[in-house]
Amino acid sequence: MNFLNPLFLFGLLAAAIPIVIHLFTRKRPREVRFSSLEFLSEVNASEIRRIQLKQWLLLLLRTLAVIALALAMSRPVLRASAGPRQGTATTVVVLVDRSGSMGATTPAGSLIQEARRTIESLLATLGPADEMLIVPYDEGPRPLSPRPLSDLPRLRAAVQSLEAGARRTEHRQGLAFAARALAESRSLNRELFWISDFQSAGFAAEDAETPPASLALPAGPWDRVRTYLVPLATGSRPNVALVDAALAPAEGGAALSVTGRAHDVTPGDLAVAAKEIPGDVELGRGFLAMPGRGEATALLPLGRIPDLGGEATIPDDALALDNRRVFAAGRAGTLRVLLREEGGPSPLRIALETGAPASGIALEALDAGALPARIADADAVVIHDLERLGPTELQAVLDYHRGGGALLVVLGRRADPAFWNGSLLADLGAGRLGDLEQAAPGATWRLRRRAAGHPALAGFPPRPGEALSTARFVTLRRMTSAPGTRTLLEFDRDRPALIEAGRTFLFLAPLDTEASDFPVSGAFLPLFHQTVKVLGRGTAAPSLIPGERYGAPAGTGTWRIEDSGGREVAVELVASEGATRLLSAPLERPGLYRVLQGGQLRASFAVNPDPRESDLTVFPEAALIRAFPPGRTTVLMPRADLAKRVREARYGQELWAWFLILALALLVAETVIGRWGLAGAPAASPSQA
Amino acid sequence: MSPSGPRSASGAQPDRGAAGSRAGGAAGREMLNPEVVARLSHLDVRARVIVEGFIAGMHRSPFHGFSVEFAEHRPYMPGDPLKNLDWKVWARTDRLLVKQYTEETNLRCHLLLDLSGSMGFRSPRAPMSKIDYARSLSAALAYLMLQQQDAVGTLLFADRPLRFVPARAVRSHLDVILRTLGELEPQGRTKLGPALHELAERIKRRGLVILCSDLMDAPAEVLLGLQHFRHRGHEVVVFHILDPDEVEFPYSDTSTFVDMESGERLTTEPWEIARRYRARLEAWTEHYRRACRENRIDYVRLDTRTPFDQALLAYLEKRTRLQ
Repeated sequence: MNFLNPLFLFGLLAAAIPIVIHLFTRKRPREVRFSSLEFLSEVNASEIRRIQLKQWLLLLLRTLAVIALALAMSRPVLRASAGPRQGTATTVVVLVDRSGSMGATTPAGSLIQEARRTIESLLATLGPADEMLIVPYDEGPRPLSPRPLSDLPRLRAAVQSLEAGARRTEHRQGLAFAARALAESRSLNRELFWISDFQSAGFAAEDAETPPASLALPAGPWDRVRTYLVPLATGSRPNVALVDAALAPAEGGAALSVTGRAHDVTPGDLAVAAKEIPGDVELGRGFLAMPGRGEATALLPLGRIPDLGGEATIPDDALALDNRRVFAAGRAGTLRVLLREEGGPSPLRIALETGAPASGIALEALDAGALPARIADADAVVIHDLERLGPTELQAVLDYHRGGGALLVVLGRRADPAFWNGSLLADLGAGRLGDLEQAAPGATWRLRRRAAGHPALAGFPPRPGEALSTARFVTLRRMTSAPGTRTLLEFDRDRPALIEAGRTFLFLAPLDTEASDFPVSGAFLPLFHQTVKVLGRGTAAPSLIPGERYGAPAGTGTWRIEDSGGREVAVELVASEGATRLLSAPLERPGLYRVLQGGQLRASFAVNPDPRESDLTVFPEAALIRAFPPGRTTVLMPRADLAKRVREARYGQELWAWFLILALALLVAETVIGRWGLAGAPAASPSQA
Repeated sequence: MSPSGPRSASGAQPDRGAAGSRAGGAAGREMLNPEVVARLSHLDVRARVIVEGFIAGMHRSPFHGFSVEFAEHRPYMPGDPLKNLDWKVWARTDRLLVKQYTEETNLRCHLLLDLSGSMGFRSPRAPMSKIDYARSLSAALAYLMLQQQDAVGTLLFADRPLRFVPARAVRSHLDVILRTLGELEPQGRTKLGPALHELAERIKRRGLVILCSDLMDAPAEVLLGLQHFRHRGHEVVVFHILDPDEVEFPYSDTSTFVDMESGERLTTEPWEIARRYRARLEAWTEHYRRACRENRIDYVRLDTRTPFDQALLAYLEKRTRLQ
């Protein structure tokens, strides 16, 4: 226990006053002549023990009251177990979550507003020599200042500008930054205030489906840092998110395929509405039959296909951010895909043309002469089972690839391994193509998943090793993949089927009915549609997620990207290996964006929140506390008296109020006991005396 | 002043007395206040003031109605006071007749006055000491009785009988009684029991015994002594005289109490024991009251601030019953 006003401890000497008064300065009794002491003696004899006990009790109470009063004035504090050293500066790092889930609303407002209030309370606890570094984070840290500040007005202004973003949470990135900042601090006292909803999904690794059970701290001076966890969310909350909205072919014309994902909600129908952007014209309505947990998809018939795009919305719930899903549509939203193949329409061409334009793929089959001239404007190029490419053609494809262009190369029956190994595959570093391989008589290969969680394979059996369809292959192309490539599908362990090498996909089997029944299987069309879309949009998702950049091959001219509100997004033209590519700044706001070349609309694309941000499950508090060194972590609930509790946690709990109450209680007890016995029992009758 | 009997006065009830208080009555009642009486130094003056104040409180005129009961007429004899002539009869019959009254009393009354040391107690709030109060009350009673032509005697005692004045009905006896009452100061320790027994033996003829005391003795012995009087056929009235501070015990500071009789000392916190003391005193007086009632003894508790009419009324009621 420490004392903030230790000089008042001298007041403890005052405790001697009642004793001195009691023992030495007792007033000399007044002498009273009285008629008879008979009754007095009798009553006094029966009361004397009570009176003596009472007097000693009163003396004790008065002494204790004086002691309690003196202690109250000396302001005792119960020191926190790892409290700061008094008289030295403190570096406070405030790690504040600004991810999309912080826009969730509570009765007191949004979580980010609560976070702002919390930081303002923390500012009130800073001493003149203390400094604070505020580090908002989502996928990564975004410190409000390069180093800790002591300038309170500046810190307050910075706090006011704090808003929730739309990016997903990456707690470990923010924590790693905070650890570095704390390590760089020279203050003896270092504190970390971690303000977040502690969304469980934010602790998951990039490709992991589920978060870990415990938190692994990044390297940092944790044994010298006092950590305060400020959980803004009281617990896991039910939430429904729209995780996909895309135009889909339908019998009666266009339709919108909408997928919702439920996180611990009451099962039931959920109304979905589709509107056009811009204009807010309603396109269609429908319902999602939501399970308690899991996904549900519905096809909303649309009155017409919107020119630019639209949005699907569901009623607001815990997180409004994911109740709106934007989709790009129409000419500008359609991928321009060039197909280079020999011969008549192949099953692949038929599949890619199916459903256009609602499918979002505008396929154009070209011959050798037309490809170099058109390739610059293509979103993706499909080369289907060519023996080889002419020199001009090859150069155009290589330039396109080097400029970031997307390629799907099907290496089937006709492919000349020598040509491809010496040209495109060498440039890709994808591996070496081998010969055709026939299955043994009676034997077949099946197409199986090798990689988990790839968007090109969305909707297919999720576990590696599972067959994609019932299709059976008897002929395939052998290839040895190079390190750095990723095998997404395989026929068996040594026979890759679909290889991803940068923005190029290689499919290694003839796509004809002689080689397999795959072209007539149900998996054929969605696999190549998704593959082409993933390639063409240059991202691993059907729409971009906040934080990603839009990129597309671009010719010369003035390029501009703007959102549906007309706000411009910074863009740059990046020249790389002879090709030019348009690259936007990271896109922060969800919505529909337009790409303009010389004022002409060239494309539109959507940015939607990462579906992982919609899971509002909270990471266990106990697991968080366990991650830090024992005894150095305090959980603070964000309430009105946060500043007081921070001071108490930092310097210890002030006890003066308790001692004051104790002193008052002792004085009350003294008064009560002082009156004790005044209402005594009636005396015995004289005859009994 | 004509000899006056108690007939009409004896019929007066306290309420009537209060109702009869008019202009003169109000002034008369002042005379009953111990604070006023205490300013008078001579006991005979005190007695006269008290009695006349008392009578004035009951009637418009102190002597109105104070006549003996009419018995018969007799012829006027030279030497008879003219005021006794019945002028109405003379006017009707032209005969001089004198009204004759029945003399009612041959009551013998003894006033017993406790002169023990405790009777000398007087608190600052009291207008007079207990013994002064008792003397004034006794003097007033003696005066009143002799006015009624009762025989009055007095006995002063402490731990033993100190003075004894036999009962006589002559007016001049008042001086003797008053002188005796004022003769001695409180002394010695209270031993009521033996004294009462001795006095009971000494008073031969039946009569009224009035005890003025603070009864500061063992109740059992006091009651035995009083029962002795009853046993010998006396009517007994006990005026239990206490000081206001003895009753209320208002002391607050730590005090050393000194017993006036024994000199014994006791230091205590009075406010700590006051409530129990008061309860004990109440129980004590209640015990006396109950025991007296059981023995057909009139018990009147007085404190030295109580107006004297309360005691005088109690006497008159007793007197009435004896008639």
